[in-house]
Amino acid sequence: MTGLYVPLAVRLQTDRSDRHVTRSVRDLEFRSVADGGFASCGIKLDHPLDRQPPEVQQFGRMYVYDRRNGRTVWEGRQEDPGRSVSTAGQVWDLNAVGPAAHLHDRTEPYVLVDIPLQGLLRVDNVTPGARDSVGEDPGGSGEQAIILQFPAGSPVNATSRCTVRYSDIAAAGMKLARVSYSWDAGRTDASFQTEAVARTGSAGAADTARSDNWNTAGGSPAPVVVTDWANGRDTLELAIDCDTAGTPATDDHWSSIRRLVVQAMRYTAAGAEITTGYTSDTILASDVVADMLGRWLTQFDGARASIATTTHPIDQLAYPDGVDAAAVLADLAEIEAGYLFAAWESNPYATSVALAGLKNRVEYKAWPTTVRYDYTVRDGFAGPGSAGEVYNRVGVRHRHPDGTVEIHESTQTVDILDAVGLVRKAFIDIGSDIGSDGNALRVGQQFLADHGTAPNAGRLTVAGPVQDNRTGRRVMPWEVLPGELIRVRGVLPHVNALNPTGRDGTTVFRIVAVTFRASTAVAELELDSDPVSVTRALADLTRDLPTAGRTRRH
Amino acid sequence: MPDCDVVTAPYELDFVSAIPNNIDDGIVDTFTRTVANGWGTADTGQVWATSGGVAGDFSVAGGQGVHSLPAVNSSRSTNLTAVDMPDVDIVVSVTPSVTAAGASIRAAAVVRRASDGSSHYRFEAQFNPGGTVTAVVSRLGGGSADLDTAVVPGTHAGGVKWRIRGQAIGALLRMKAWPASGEEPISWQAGALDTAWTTGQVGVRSMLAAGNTNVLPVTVAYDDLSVEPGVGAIQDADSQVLLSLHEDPWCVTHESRFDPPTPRYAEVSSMLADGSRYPSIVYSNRTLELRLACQAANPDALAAQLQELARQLHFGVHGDGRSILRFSDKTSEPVYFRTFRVSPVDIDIITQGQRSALVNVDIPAEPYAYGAREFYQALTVTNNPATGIANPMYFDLTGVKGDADTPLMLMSTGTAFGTTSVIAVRRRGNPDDMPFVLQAELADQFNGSTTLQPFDANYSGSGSNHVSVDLAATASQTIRITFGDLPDIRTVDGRGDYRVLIRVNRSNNTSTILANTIKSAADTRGDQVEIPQSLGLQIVDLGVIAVPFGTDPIYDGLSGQQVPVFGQNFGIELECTSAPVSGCGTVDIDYVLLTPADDAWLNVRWANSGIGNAAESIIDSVHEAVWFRDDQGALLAVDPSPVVGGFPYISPAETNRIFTIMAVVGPDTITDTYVFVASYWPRYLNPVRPISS
Repeated sequence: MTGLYVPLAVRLQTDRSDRHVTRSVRDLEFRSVADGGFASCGIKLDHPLDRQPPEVQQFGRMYVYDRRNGRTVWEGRQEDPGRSVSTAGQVWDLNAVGPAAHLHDRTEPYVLVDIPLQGLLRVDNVTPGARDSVGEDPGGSGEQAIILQFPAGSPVNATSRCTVRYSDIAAAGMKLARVSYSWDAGRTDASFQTEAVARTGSAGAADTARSDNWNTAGGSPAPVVVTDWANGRDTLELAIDCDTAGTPATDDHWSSIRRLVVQAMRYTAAGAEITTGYTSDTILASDVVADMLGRWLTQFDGARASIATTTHPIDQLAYPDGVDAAAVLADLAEIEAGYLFAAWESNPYATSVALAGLKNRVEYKAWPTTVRYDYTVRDGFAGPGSAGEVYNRVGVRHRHPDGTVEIHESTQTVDILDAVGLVRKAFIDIGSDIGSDGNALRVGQQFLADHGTAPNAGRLTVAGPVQDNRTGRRVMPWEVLPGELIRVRGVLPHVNALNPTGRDGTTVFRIVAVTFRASTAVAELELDSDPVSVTRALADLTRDLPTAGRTRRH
Repeated sequence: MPDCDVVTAPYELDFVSAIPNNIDDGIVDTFTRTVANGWGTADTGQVWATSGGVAGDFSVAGGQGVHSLPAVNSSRSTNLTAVDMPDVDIVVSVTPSVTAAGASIRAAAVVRRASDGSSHYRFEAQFNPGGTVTAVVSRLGGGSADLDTAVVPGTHAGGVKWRIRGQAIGALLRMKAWPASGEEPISWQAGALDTAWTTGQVGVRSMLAAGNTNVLPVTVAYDDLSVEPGVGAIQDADSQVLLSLHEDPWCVTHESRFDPPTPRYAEVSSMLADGSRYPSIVYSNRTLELRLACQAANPDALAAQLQELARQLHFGVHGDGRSILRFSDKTSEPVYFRTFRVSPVDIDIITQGQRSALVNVDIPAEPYAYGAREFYQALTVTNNPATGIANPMYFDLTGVKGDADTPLMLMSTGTAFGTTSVIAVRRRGNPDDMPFVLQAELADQFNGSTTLQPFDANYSGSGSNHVSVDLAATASQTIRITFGDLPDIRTVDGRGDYRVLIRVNRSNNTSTILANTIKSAADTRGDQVEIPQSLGLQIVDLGVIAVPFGTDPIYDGLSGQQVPVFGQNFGIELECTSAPVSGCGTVDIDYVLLTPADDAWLNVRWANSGIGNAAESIIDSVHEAVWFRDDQGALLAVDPSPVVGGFPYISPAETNRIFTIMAVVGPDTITDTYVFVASYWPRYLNPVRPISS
């Protein structure tokens, strides 16, 4: 006799069949995580091995429903099934991965905001004698700059120019949205200009986004799409231009361009291009999440996605060598450790049922600050020692746009370490994809904030109804969701942000993962108290899923 | 050895081909008697009463019941007036004496006839001049009308016998007519949905249409009448005895055991069990320990019996090793075990001489024993939850037999095909005490932006029957209406989880309007849901709420006494979050439904083949599937029907209220009706069952 103790139903759906198979299910186990949402599910299905069930097919769908109320408690896509024969009979071992697997479906170059100095291509070389280089700004700013120059003694005419091109956005199949830079010139001379040209491809239509006559005072323009060039331009050309023939007699016929920031046009989460509103040199993690939903993650319901607005201004997020959405989210988790991404069911509230076309609900939210669940340690609890997670120093290594490597070091006061005179230092390498001074500093600060105290980590066994303070319901173990706070009675906490007073015998934890097994009707909750778990959970999720070829520019 | 002549078999045990349907005895009349001035009494004891004409117009002779028609446009009918049948399957032979001339000769099977003769449904064969025959489903009374008409294959002539078959299942009426010399057609030829008459007498009726020029009198003879009551008869299973183990030469000895199955408990007592609400238990397969004796006439006969037993145990009914054993402990009602394959090596045969043998075999079987399939009369449910309407979006199933929860089979016809529905169940306590519908116009409070609207027939309820929420004033505003206490009586039966559905009609399809539930005890909001940007009345799902909200011990300490629950303020909140110009227009709210979400809640699209009304779409909780059966009972391959949630079970000794919110996607019309036929197989843990259950 097969079947489940608990009122759950299992549905398998392919393009050939759509069936409930609960009666044939021997056992069921599913797991959800934060970050990620529904993560993995495995069922053992009684079915002869010599016949392929039409409802079993790689990339088919698997749903687990709560029979009582019709809500989806797990959902994902089927993987290639395993099969076995034993004294227990013929069994299909069917595994599925959650909708977060969609994060791995596409690997492409991705450039949202870039601060390029190296790798610009000299093009339109009508004045071969002109020079382009990268070096310290001759204007005296002390910063690294792109330097374009008509050398002394080298004749110029009315069409002379020196142009370098940035095309990483075009290579990523994206469009230009905003360019900002500061320029300077070695002389004040209306016969020479410093220009920014937005072009489609390498030889397509172009718009002069900005043209400034040379002036030793320089300038800091920030042209944007629609206003300064037509939507669709995807390469940026920086040039100096001469409109009067002559021969420079001095070495001051140069223009330097520094603090170049290039932004790609983003999408709304619903998939519409954002053509206005590019007023800053930075973007937010929430902007990135929305863009990926609208651009790549078409199986997610971006239009109804819940996306919390983040705060840290990101000045570098470029993956010209290709990246998938999961890797981007992992980087965002380092920058915004207090937020989590999760993909859930495809029919949360719709009363419609459909064979195809339903999109998964997604959310990008801050970790809650109010307790949702209440439970006790009565069914089992284990909290491992965790002092190894405490640090008072961190170094964050990143690579500058000019190719140089820099390590930012941050420190904090940790009483228990200071008391014994101990320095515990961690080291993080964020590479070049998100490598900037600002991002490196942020990552270090986030890390230290999460590691100032020992985490209240542990595993909680939940075998009975749990009070859900948000809905007022007593929910069953399979309904408990990660990404929420749970207050556990009967365990003394380490004092931390979630447990500021903390001597009352109850501890507030973050739920970072829930694993439910139908045969025992018990859920195992993986608990943590600081957002370090976010990156850890995402890393776990990434390890669980097929890996895509992600590269970093180190 | 136990001798079958000596040891009285304590049990009746047969291998049978199927579990039959439990149907009442039908009516049969072969008209083999001779009666003048009437039709006398049917073979099964029902008395025929005549209507129309004079007594001499009615007779039984020559194996036929005869109507003599001495005039045109004047009917003669004979009816079984003591019969009161709602759902019926009627078949009868008819033979007009002549070929019709001028206008048709009409012969009909009559169902649901009122006692005063003022109303009925007719399944009529109209024998037309020229030999054509028309099948007509018609209604008398309530605006008499031909509901459907179809010319059928075949020609008629005087003295040629035809057969008429008609079925009335709830609102579904369908018929066919064919020459008796041929095979019954596969398809129904005329059919309609009508709810005017729900029950009544059965009979036959004859008439000459106005314009008929046949020499008078014309006679119409009837024969081979069969009337099966109830929808169970329509889908009866053919159950044949394949091998009897309690009749010569077999007997079942006292040593046999048919014990209940072994329970298996979940590790946690608070868990819910598959198929039942409480407790955390499922049953293992049971083992039927058969100790048989066989005493044959000779060695060859013994060998043949033993081989037949082995074949039954190994191959089963259909070659899949599954057999059906009918068992009776000498009670009036048997039960049926569904068994699994038994290998011949597990059959222990102890021969005693050359003509006798003892057979010991342990047969694995499903945990439950089953009773014959029980059918409920067809029910017509209205897509309107207003009080005072019969079956307002729900119906009750009571008197469930058996001693365990059992999966529900729910069949619907015609109007249900292709609709997306919610099927929910409440099967404890008094379902009238649970909150189900909250009419918006009865809300306790709504602020100045919400106005009561005059009666509109598209909305549920009477008088001012909906409210309009004005979200047009600004681009961002929140409006709420509250209903006061939920539940509004102190009751233990209001307790539970409910999935909230609201019926709304928005005035524009461009803005973003969110809706959520609110419970004012803590002013707690449910999940916000976007109202789809489509016009017209639609049902929106607002998710699950709990009654009561918050801590609920359910029981008063250890007393076992349930604590009644009483209301907390409940309401609906609408929020305009994105508007193209200013505001989001208006949202008319008709009602709020609280569908029980603590037992089984199913979101399903009914299977649809497009072949018309005379077929069935079935929610099959036994196999957890939705499928389609054509008008001859055959499975018809149709597109898969998506199913979300759990399939419904029903329980003995409870009022099982089945909620049917039929059109949760697409147009939702309040006057639509749907016909359901519910059935189940009673499940027994103990194999001995009383007659009533």
